[in-house]
Amino acid sequence: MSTSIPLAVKDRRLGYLLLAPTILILAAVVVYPLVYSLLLSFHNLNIDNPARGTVFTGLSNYIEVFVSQDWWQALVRTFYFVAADLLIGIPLGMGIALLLNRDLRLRGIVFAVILFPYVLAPIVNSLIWKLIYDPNYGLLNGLLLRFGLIKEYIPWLSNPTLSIVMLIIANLWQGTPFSVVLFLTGLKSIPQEEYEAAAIDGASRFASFRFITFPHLLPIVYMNVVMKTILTFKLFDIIYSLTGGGPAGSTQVVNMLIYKESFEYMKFGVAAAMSYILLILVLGLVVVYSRIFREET
Amino acid sequence: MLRKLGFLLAIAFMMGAITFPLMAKGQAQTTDTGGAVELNTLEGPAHVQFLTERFQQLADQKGIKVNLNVIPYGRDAVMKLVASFMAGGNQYDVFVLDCVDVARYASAGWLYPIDDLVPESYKKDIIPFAKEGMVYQGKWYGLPWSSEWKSFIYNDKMLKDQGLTEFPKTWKDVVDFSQMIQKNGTVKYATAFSWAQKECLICDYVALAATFGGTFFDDKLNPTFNKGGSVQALQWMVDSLYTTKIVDPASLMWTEDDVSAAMSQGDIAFSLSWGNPLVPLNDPQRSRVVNQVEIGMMPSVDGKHPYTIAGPMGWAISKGTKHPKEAWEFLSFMAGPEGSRIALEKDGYPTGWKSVIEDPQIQQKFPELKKMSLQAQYVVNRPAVPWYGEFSSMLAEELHKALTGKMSPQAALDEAVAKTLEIKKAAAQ
Repeated sequence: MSTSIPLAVKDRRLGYLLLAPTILILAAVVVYPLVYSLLLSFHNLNIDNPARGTVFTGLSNYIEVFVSQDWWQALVRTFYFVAADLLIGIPLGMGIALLLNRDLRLRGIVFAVILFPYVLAPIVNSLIWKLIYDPNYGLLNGLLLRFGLIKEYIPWLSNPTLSIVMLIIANLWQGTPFSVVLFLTGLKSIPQEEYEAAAIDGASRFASFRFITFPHLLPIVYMNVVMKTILTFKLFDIIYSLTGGGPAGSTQVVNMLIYKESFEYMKFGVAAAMSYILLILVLGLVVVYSRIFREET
Repeated sequence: MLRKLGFLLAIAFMMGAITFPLMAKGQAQTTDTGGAVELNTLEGPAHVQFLTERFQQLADQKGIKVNLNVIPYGRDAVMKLVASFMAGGNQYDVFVLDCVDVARYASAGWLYPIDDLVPESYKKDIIPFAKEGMVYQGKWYGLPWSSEWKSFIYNDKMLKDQGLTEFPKTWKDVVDFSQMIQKNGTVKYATAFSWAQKECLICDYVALAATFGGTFFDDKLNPTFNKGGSVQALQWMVDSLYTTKIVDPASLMWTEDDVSAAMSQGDIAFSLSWGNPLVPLNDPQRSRVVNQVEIGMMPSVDGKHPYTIAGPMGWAISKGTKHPKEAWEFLSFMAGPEGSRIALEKDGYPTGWKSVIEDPQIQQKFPELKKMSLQAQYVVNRPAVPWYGEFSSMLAEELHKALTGKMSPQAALDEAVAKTLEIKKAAAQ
């Protein structure tokens, strides 16, 4: 009777062994911080008074978040960013991808230029826009004044209403190439025969887009919606660099508030509670999206 | 079999390559490199060149290497320092300690007391105001590095071009002079301040409030800034943006570095500046207004309250450092009397040592120190309390609500006072 280990079992063991390094690293850098911050959300570290030590506070950190006006205002502002990213960023990305999907001359160079903002580090992106928005020497004021669209220079980031719009623009500039890449990939996978058949049947361009292109791109739209929601809810770099949450708190999004609670107020427990509420909120949105898109597809 | 073994060895090698550097980095950040100790620190961009030169001299003279982490704005150090302290405090061995952070860091046990390290000669030589900024509950935590206050500076050439022979003594003078200079087309806005929603705004506001006869806190640390001169000061700030229009609206996003840049480019005629601003302003490599700028006393509502804000800073040692002896040598080298003299001469850092201030050579080289020392008699401080960080962040936002027209100055300050009392109460629980 053979006592050798079956091949399938050997393969499984090898699989687990190969997964082990990744699991160890993930455990250290993802699972441990997740568990630690969850525990932190139920405690007060009493940083300013170490003699009191760490105290278990139950749900009081979460209650403090839910009754905080700052939290709800920051959440609304974050939703502005998310809404802009979804309603403008996705159609814009799709439009650019449709244009790039043709046989254009220098398409490679155009694609590289369009992709350029996405490969920049967020802080570099922020610094570029800081120069563009400079109230005295910025490119935006210079161009608008030259073309007669404004009569005098505008301090874009000093105005509470304008500043959030300018940040949305800066964020869209960096985030849209991500959509372009995803949509281009989706467009490449659409069988050309369907377009040829539609052309034979006399379908217009719009009809081709509506009945062939868009249905094929729906999974890509879903992916964009989910990724952009997650990424925009995480927005921090551009706010921190350009406005610091000002002027008058008008650009303070949720992540800026979490940062302030942690490093300025030293309330790590409350900050951890905010992070978990944010996590649950984003997960909830993803579930909603998946239900909507499942029905659509 | 051999192929599988080779594969496993490759995986093991990769794991080692990933984890070994992480383990090495996870040990004490300060390392001994063949006898030379390395210390880590961080600072804003304004004085990088000078600091780099001094650190090299320290390495050459004492074999202590200092690694400098440059951050965008001096106050950004707070986030990094707090993260370092929470992780044991050995990521940054030495750092510049702002007077407003002493209470919080000391309460949390993050600072290394230097009482036993400071020699008697230092104790006799230090200027009291410079030491007080680094002391909390009787313990001393830092050697004075930039023992400064904000000075009012003006472009004398711009004033003379308008036929003005004296600097403005009242805020009305500032408005009148500014409007003259602007009308002439010399500059678009004659004044700019550091009114970004950060600590810099608090500094300017506290100074301005004092010049209007207002107060910040009473003896029992109750907020008093929603009354009298403190409200008038905020109203003046709002008016200067929207009514008299003498302050660049960009001030709402500017920190001190931006204002200094505008002054050195000749874009504004008046500003407030920390330290001895004439050193960089008279450096042809850094300024277009060489020998044009002078220091004056702070203007005030009636010319009789020329108060300014004090902000002494010092080099301090992290409690978690693995090299306290070398860290103290660093402090002594950089911020002792001799190091302070070099910092004053080369980069305008205001000294905290009597021997340096009273040195005839220094007085001859820096005649403006005499004017500056007159201003030093009229300084106000921010409260040294552990909850200052939260209070400052809140107040900056409330002040901005008034400065952006969202609320009236009185309403914004009333709201700020109410929130201050809540913060104070929560801290006491």
